[in-house]
Amino acid sequence: MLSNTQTDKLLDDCMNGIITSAQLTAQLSADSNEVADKLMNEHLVAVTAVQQYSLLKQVEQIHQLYAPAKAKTVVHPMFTLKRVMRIAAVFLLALSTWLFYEYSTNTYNRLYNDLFTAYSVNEVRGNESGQINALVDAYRSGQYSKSAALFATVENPTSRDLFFTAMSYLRLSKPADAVPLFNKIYAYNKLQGEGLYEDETDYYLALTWLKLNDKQKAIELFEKIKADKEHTYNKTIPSSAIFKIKWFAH
Amino acid sequence: MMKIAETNLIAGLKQADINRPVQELYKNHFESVTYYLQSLGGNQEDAADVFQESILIFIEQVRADKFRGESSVNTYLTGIARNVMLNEIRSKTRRNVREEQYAAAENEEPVDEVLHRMFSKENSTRLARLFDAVGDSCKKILKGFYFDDLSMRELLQYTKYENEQVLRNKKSKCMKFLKDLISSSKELNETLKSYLKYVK
Repeated sequence: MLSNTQTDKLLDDCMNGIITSAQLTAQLSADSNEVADKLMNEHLVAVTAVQQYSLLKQVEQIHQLYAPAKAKTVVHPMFTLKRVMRIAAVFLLALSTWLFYEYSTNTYNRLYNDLFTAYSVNEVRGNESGQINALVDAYRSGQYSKSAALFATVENPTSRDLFFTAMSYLRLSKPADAVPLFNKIYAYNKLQGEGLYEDETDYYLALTWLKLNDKQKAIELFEKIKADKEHTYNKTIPSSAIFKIKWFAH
Repeated sequence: MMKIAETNLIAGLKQADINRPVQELYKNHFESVTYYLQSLGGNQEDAADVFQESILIFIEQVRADKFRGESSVNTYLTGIARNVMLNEIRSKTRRNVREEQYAAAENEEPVDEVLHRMFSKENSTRLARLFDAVGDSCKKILKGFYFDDLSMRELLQYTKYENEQVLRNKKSKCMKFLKDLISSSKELNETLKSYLKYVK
């Protein structure tokens, strides 16, 4: 019985013509030519594979130098530099347009008009005295000059008198005259231990500061209102209003 | 009559080391042939692949003395490349049609009488996979013996084995392993057998 190495050598010799097919069959002690032929064919197939592979490898090495780089399946990243720049440019354009619009539209006066809501006079509170009723009645009927003038006749004014007189000055576009009256409401309430018209004063004094172009004082009051969930005017002021006042009011 | 340069090229392709003549073929013909192939409908990458296959076929034909220098290398090479390209286009069309039809058509796959696609992309990939499985040490021995035509004594100098007998035993084992792998790969086995019939 021949070893694999001996068989391999015989097959090589037959392939190279050193021995004949008949000699191969004899030396392999094969039962028939068919067995030898089968071994020889398998051997030739394997040798052909080696030769073809080696040839392929040699040519491939040179091919790499000349062939175009194979088009790689490039998965385009979502954000290439070009795309990022384009998005940034669009964003900047939109931002600058918006900034320009907000800046040009948000004057103190415009913001004041947007936020101002006419104060409805509480009927229940109007029965204390004839003079007071006259001041409030004048305010209710839109006679702001009259209601403001009537304040001078009131002895020991309450927070109610102070408030409607201040509101009258505000409606008369005399915000500077309204400020000391609103401030007196705080002092009066403190003295009396009351809280009447205090929420209203916060809100309308803030608007008064806005009308007077005093951004800082207006913001302080608006933020105070927004911070207090129970405040009467908490829901009246949109958060965006404070943002606009901070950044665009001019 | 062949030019001297072409005569030398052909002689070079019959040697074991074909590095220089193949470089020359690429340098002189790659651009013009691939340009022509693209005019037949292939893209740049397809054309380059077909050119490589054509070079391999050309080498085989030169070694089998089928190229007699009756036309220039460029004309001959372009002719091979054209056939490969058209064959490739036909194969693709057949594949597409077959996919749409039924499996009976599988038996109609023709063996090209003019051209053997031993080095088609598919077959080249199968060969590469086969020898990846064989391993580097076996590849080195088998290539040295069967392709570079080295004797066992010469081969011993390039390997780590103690003596010729050990190397011979190793080579025998490598061949057995290779034969087993080939017999387990139906497509490659058939391709190699049909190629052997083709070159006989």
